[in-house]
Amino acid sequence: MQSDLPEFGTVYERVTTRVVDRRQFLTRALALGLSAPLLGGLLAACGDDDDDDDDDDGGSGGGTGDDPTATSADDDASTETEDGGDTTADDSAGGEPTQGGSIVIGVDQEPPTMDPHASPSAITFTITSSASESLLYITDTREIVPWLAESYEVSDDGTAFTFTLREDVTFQDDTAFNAEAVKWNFDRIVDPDYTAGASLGNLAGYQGTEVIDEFTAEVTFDAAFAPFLTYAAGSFLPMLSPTATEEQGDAVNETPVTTGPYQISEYVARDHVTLTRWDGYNRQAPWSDHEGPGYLDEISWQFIPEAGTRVTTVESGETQMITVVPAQDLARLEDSDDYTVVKAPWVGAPRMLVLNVKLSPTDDLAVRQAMNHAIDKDTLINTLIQGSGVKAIGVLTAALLDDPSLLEDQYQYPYDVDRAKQLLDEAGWTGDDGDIRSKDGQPLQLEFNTIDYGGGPDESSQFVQGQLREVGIDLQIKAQARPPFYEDNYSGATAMTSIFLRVGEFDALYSLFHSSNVGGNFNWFQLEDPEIDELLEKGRAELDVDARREVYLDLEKRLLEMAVAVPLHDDFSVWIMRGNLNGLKFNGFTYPIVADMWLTE
Amino acid sequence: MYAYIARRMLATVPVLFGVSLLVFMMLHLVPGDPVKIMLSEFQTNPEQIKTLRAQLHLDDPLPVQYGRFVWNALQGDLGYSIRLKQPVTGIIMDNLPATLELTVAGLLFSAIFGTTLGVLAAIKQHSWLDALSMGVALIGVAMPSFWLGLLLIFAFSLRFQIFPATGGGDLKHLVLPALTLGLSAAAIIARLTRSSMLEVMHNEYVTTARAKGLREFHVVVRHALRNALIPVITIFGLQFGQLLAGTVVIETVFGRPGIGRLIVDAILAKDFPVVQGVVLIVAVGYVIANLLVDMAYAVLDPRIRYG
Amino acid sequence: MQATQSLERAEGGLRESRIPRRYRDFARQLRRSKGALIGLTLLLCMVFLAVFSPLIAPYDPIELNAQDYLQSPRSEHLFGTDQYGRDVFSRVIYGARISLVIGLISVGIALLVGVLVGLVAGYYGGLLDSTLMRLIDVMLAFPGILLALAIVSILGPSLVNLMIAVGISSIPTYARLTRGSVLATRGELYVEAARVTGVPNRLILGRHILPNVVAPVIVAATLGVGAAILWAAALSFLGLGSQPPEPEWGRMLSEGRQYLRSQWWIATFPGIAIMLTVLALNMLGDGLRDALDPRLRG
Repeated sequence: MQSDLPEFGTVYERVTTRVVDRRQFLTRALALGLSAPLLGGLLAACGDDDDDDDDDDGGSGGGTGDDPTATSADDDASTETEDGGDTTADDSAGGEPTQGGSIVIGVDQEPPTMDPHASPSAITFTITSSASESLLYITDTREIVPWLAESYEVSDDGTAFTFTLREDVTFQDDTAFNAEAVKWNFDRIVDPDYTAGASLGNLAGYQGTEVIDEFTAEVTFDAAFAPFLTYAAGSFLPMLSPTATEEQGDAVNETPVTTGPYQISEYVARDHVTLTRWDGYNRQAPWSDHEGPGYLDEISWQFIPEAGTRVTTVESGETQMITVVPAQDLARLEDSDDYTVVKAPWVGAPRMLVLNVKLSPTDDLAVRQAMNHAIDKDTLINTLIQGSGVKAIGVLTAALLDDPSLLEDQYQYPYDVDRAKQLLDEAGWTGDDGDIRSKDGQPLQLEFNTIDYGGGPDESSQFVQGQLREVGIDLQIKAQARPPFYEDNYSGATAMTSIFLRVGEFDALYSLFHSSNVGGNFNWFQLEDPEIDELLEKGRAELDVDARREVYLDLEKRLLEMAVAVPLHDDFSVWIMRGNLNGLKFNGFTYPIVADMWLTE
Repeated sequence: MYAYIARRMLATVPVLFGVSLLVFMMLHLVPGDPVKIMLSEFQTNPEQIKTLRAQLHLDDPLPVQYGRFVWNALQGDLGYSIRLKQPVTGIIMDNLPATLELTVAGLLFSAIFGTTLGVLAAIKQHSWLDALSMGVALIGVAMPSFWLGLLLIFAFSLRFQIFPATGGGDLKHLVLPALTLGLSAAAIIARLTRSSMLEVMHNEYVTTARAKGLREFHVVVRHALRNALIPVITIFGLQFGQLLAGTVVIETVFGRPGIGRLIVDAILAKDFPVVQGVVLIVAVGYVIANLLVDMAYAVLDPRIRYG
Repeated sequence: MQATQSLERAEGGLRESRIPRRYRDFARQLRRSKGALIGLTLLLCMVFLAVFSPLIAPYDPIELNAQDYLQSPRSEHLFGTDQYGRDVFSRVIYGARISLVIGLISVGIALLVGVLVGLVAGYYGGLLDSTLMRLIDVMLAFPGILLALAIVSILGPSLVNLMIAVGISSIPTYARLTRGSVLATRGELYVEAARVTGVPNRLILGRHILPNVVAPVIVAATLGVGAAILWAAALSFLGLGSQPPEPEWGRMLSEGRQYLRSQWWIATFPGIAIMLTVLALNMLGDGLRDALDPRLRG
């Protein structure tokens, strides 16, 4: 594929980030004191790349045969490595793919909308990534390959991107996919009358799309926009049918019309969304092992907010696959031969506590630093998270940006209750041990805005609450549904909230920390810092891979010094499936691709 | 009797008026600007807030707004959910059948189980059967339904895998939720049936029937039960409402779609038009159900004269 | 004036002779009811736990103790520990405090408003009565937990709002009950006599009518506390009531539900606690009803 299109390799080198070196990641993981089972999970996840020089025979321990650490791993780990092998479906243990059948997948929440351009929420992309297509595709090894565009060119100044489109593509409503459609899609997102979601930040500085001929489109930006290729390949900028979207009105929030191998055919609120195989699909998707439509007739996503119930359904066979699995169930299911467990480390921003720098008491650097010291991440991970994540080392996940220099104490704030108390004392927040501290009569109290999808707020919120109490900080948990949660975050109404992002680009930091993203987007820190802004803009314009990495490393260190966040854990995308289900894959943003899954008889 | 029915119907008019007024006022009693709260999910600008205020006519005087609310409601228009991007009436209509199905199933279960338990307890008064039935009834009322639901899921979905734990659909999905929903109503019905049966069985006509040498079963069913059930029927209306409201918890536990789960989601999401719509529909439905029960009672029980 | 006094004395004498007998009967009746005694004993145990929870509970109910997380029941942790290492036994004991307070305060709110409305409506009758009763009818049009849900949606979820919501939604029960009793008493000869002789309404209500209302209201309130505890637990279970880290039973059940199959103790003990408390109140309430009003015996 790459030999046909020489520019892919070179541009990829120039513009996108380096793939995390496995061995380096492993060293890092060992340095962090991870247990063997966790490492197994990591290796499995890192090892699930088709082009890896490992011989993936799908047998036990296969995916990581060259790695001495993995061979010494215990039973848990080998289960996981085996499972990791399954993510490369084409040569995995399940035998020949079979046609037909349908499956139900249990997810923890209902999407706010199915319109991928409007959604700010990962759950939407978890579902749409298998049903929609973008101009390019980013693989799980974070390599950019052609998809709806056969090739592309980037201007030397990094402001213009010319895409040559495939000519054989039609939308599911039988209208043609062409340069006009590309223009219509991008214009739609930036239209001020349209409320776009995560997609908007992916078109920052968008000037316009020029239709050069029917199958050539040139997208231009105000300034160099290095991350755009990754975005064009990611999950946030898929192509919707202009004709269908305009006709269906609000129904686009339920059943958007795409070019993908599956049609989003039915949406039942509070219950499920169904993808139906689209037999008009005539190509080989970049993740796929074959040409033409998928294997399964129907893939239904059932919304089951209750974690215990969700686990029950996969055990009883009501669902064939579930995600977001409670730690204690995960351990049990991993031990069972009846289930395949797949874990992939998320790229983007880790799960972190967001500290509002404009609101008291978190406007005080000492309070923010004390909070960082007061929270025992290792214990959090060993108890509540267990096999679903590893300790975060910064404001980007280690799978995206990892460097030994980040591990110094000034960035990591090791767990130290005494240090936390000392910092608070020095800053004038005083009080007897066991009491809530105060300063000038104001108690050291803050509100924690958390999200409740229907199964209760995240468990770690009470953990954090208890830990902050130890040092005399009174944390009030404000558990809300998604919409008011977002509202409070946009307006900076609470001193603390939490966030994670699934984006395969350093530029994720732009939406989190640039001053222009206060009040909208994800700058819930309310951070307006000229130096940070400058670095973020520099990162966007820098086309050299190594120089770019340095910019973001520097940026990350500054942010950690400012203690604007408490990074908690890098999550794994965890999926449990019944043994007869095969072929789960992930794209480079760690969203699952279920379009090539199939059932063993 | 017809006069009674007419008066009874007339009496519901002020109640419906009050219900609609209360439901209407909900939106205005919420602290803060409801529009801002409703628009929150995505980034919004003042322009959009203004547009929505205008769309909802929130700048009109309250009586005008109330008039419009009632007028629209009478025409089946309960407003628009910004969160779900659909008219509220449509959302409720999509979810109502599942809830009614569950409520009716729960009511059926409670009626059959409750009366059986009550009759058994009454005809074998002071026996172990009586004690057991009344013990079940006591526990049935005291058991939190969400806990019962979890225990049933644990037993029948996990351990024995007889019934599915979650979702809507065929009859199999209905069994556990209906059982959970109906147990406390069954307990109430059982106790009522028992005391009502005991009273009737000591009545003359039952004694007469017995004296005539009729078989005990015949006596119980033909004479005692028929009369004993009259007071039981009256609480059906009440129980229907209780069960309808009880679906709020049951649908959440079992992950069933329906208006119970709809309203909980809407409250958490501050989706006020949906909350208002569900509250209004359930309250009006309940008032009408009670009206029907009262009318049925008037027709069924000739002993009662309504002057 | 003199007539009034003598009438009052006469009435007083009658009361003195009547009431102790009534209460003697009541005590005997209650003692004879095994259910009521069991209920009372259970309830007193719960009250004891609630009052002395800081002394009884071996651990802080909200303090994290990560090294002890998810321990099964054993001697150090009678009911085991939850996912945060908190002692479930201690939390259940503190939960008794929260649940009983919720029950008492919400029923208190309902009694205060309900009894007043019932007294006034029943005694004065007329337009006031029909207006108040129409209002009560409107409240009754919201079945079960629905009115409480609507109130919580306006006020927002918290423990205090929960008590207000449950309290308000129980008002109709007491208002109707009180009004009924008042109507029954109002026609009694001694009340008529007092009225005719010009005893102020306030006095008649307080001295003659209220005592007759007390018995059925006590029965209803006993049962009502149980119902309030159940509702509050349900709302907390749904995330619309108490907030973390409060050890409220409904919330504990909700937090423990996903552990039900492997760490059954987290959700089981709060469930049993709710059930026992409500059971105790119901048994006591049944006993009280039988003792106070033998006609209502079931």
